Amino acid sequence: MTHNRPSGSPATDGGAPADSLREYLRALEAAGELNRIDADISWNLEASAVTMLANNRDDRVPAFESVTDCQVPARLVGDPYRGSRGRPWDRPARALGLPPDLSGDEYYRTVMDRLRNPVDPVVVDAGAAPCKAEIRRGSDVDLFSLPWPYIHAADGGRYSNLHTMVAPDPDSSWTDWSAHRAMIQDGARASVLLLAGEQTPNLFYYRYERREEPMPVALAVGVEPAAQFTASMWIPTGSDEAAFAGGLKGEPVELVECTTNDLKVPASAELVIEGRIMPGERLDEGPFGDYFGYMHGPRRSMPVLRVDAVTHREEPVIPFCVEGSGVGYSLNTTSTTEVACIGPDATLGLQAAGYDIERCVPWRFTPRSVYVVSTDVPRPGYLHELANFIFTTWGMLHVDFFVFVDADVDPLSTRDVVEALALHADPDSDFHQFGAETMPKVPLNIYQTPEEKGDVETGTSKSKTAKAYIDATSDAESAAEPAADREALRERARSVLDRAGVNLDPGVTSGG
Amino acid sequence: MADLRTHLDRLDAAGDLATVGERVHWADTAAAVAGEAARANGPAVRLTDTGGRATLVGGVFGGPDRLAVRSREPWARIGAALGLGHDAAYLDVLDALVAARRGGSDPEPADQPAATADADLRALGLPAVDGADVPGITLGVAAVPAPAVENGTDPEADPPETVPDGRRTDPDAVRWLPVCGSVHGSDGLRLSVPAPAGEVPDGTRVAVALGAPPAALFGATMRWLGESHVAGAPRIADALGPVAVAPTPAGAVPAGSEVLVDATVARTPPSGTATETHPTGAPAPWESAVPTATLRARVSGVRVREDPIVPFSPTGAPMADSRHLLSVVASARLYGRVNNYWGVAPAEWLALPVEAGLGICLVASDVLYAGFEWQLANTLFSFSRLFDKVVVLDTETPPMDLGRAFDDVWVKAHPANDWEFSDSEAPAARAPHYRRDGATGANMYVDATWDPRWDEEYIAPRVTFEATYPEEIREAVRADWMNLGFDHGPEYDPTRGGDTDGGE
Repeated sequence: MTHNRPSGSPATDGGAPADSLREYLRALEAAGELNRIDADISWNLEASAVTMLANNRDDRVPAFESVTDCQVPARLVGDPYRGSRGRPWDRPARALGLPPDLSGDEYYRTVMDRLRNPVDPVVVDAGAAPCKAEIRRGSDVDLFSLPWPYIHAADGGRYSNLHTMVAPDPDSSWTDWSAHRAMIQDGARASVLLLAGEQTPNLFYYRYERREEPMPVALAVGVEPAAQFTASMWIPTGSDEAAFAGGLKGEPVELVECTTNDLKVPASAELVIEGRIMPGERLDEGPFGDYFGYMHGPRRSMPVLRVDAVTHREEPVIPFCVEGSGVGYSLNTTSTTEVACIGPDATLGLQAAGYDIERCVPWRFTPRSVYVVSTDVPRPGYLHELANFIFTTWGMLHVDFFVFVDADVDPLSTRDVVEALALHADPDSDFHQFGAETMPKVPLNIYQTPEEKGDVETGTSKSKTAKAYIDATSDAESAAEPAADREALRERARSVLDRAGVNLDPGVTSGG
Repeated sequence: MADLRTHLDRLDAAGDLATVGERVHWADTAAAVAGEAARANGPAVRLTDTGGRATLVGGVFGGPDRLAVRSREPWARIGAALGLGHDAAYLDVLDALVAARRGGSDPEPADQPAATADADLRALGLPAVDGADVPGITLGVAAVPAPAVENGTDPEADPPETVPDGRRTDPDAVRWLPVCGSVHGSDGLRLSVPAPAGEVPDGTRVAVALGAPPAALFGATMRWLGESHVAGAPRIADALGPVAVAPTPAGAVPAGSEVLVDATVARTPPSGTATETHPTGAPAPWESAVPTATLRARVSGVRVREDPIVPFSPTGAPMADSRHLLSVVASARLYGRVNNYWGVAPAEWLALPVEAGLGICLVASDVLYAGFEWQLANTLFSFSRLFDKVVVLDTETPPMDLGRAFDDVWVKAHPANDWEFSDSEAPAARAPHYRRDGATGANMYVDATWDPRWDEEYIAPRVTFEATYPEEIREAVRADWMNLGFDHGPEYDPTRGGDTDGGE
């Protein structure tokens, strides 16, 4: 559980970025980080249970080669992108062809640099697209022939929850990539969590619905890593998601047109569900154990996806995320993409918006709700402005809190952040916007009663909440630059310990 | 319990003590090496070649942080020092300290201390801490005649300078104090002591024990952080120990101490020397917990055990021993108080995490009735001025599960109405770095518990291994785990193999 990489040793070479999920899994396997399980495993809670325990124990990523009770010879992989506890960005780094022993600082700089340089995708013909090795349409489609996992015993059904949803803006040429869980209803239908009041593509759907038109959609399951990471990021409205994926990868992403609509999906996908989300049709969706780490209910009525075609690779690998297991000390795909993808993306986005922050990093134990921003405070009101900029834009529903720390505090260091919060945030003057109940909220929060969350009708939360920020920056008097000779002494001390073979574990830090 | 050497043997046996044999000089590098080991969640570090007579050991009471799952707990070395074992549970440590407050029997008298060989103070090589380049004293226990401490502030009193013969092993004739300080010149000491001891008259004899048996250090610290009804330090030590005591003119001292420094209080410095009284180096955390005073003394003799060992805290470094020591002692104190205050014992556990610099108090408690969380938080503020932030957690939160605690703060506490701030009239807390001028301000608490007014149906079940899967699946997965090809067993679980019941 400790990492004894000698200080100062060069990072090992990364490989090429993975062109597909299965190529990424092969890379994990070569590095001894994948556990290919040949024993028969059921999709019915068993694969999820094994995955959750692997997440909790920081063990190798489980790939289930023999899944029982599925007509299509498909496989499952549980939380393939989960990072290691000590270095949560390591597996995403490997997926992107970066050295997995890159420090957190180097990882963030590299990913941000790549995001600044999008690479346009390449469209390939259907014949060249691995995701079209098998095509089933219409009555040949049977979602239940595939081993969608039943993830938590109290869930409302079986889920696909680690996919890229491709959906078009009805009023422009923009196509959005996002991640929305989908509960399998029957052979040809699923219900998709599209809460009203959220951002895209939900807004797209409700515009289609007002026109009584179905929204064409594709759920691309098991896309190549760069595409999956992009789906979790906040890409500027109107930008080309595939180009950002290409930038992240450092190479063009290959797209292919769907068989039954003109949406384009990553050609490397393991499986694609093509269909339409219907106007005026609802089916139950949920409950589901969600990213807060709690069962989210109540069961709601959610829009219906009618499946027109399913295409897939030979023996497709279906990834899933044991949602809710990425809280506290444990990681899963969601919490890992938070630190490895959202963090660099948010940092870049804030800098692009004119805020000269050092880094924006999610709070280690809580996905999606709390972020730590290291920054100077160049003028009065700066933190207020910065916090509310995010609260009113891409962080509108999910982000509830910011913790601001000094520019020289490492937000990847959990200890440094906790100490800053404890010793520099004065309850008398540094806690802002608590107590107000005026701001919108995603109705997944567990601190709201089911009544506050809303009822079975589609809708966002019936209650409002506070969006708050904490100034944990130090006072000018107490901040001091460490002397250069102090740093030299520390370096000498580390060398002494290194030579003595002392096992150290700095924890998660940018220098890690 | 035993002496320091036994404690080091235990740490060594547990694989929690590393030895550095290369030259690491006491004047600069020693503290830096111990500081880096502490900062990086490393083991205790023994430095055998420091340019001085003593072997120095950093981290004997330290430990890693609990912001990640690690191979040892932050309190493991303290648990070992208390004789509870390196794998003691957190609550075992708290309970032992709470029980010891009542005191044990009188310490067994010894004819003489283990430290009998004469030594030169400066030649010992006490480590310069915090880059001060001046020999420092940390983790020390000072013995001072009781009347000097009790009556020192009374200008009419004339307490004896020494403890009379015949009473020099009497625990009631002496006061043991936690002490830190620095060495100046060949025989000068500047010591930081709890405030009442700062008024002892010139000429009073003082004995400073370094490398005292851990029980003595705990006893001294607990007495001065504790309430008036807490037993005297020697008896607390014996309850944790036993601890033998040996006679000195200053009174009884822990007989197993590695180094004994005999000194005399001398407020007025020799002519031509500096008049500064404050010790050099960073203050110890306990100095934030109690009012302190500084004391000058002149050393008359130093005695050491054969091959003396001096433990020290790299004070100023994150996760240093002195922070751990205060964290555990203060946590036990508050835990004992809140569970003996209302006639019920609502607190499952309590901690002032070292990781938060003792500026936050976590308490997992039953919420006996709506509003109890307010009562509990404010009771804690009234018991301690170290922190101004309290987080109230549900009792299902495993002890010291900081990952869970610092998750629940954001997801279970409603930011609109579960973060409570007092008015601005509260006295300033001592651990934080703001309002060091003592200006009043607000306290705050976060109620990260389920609202007791909610019906059961409103309580969202946690997604845990126990709560998410039926028993037969859990048992089968656990049983087949290694056969499935995995490498990490239950010791890697965040809850150390005991997944908590996810039901709330």
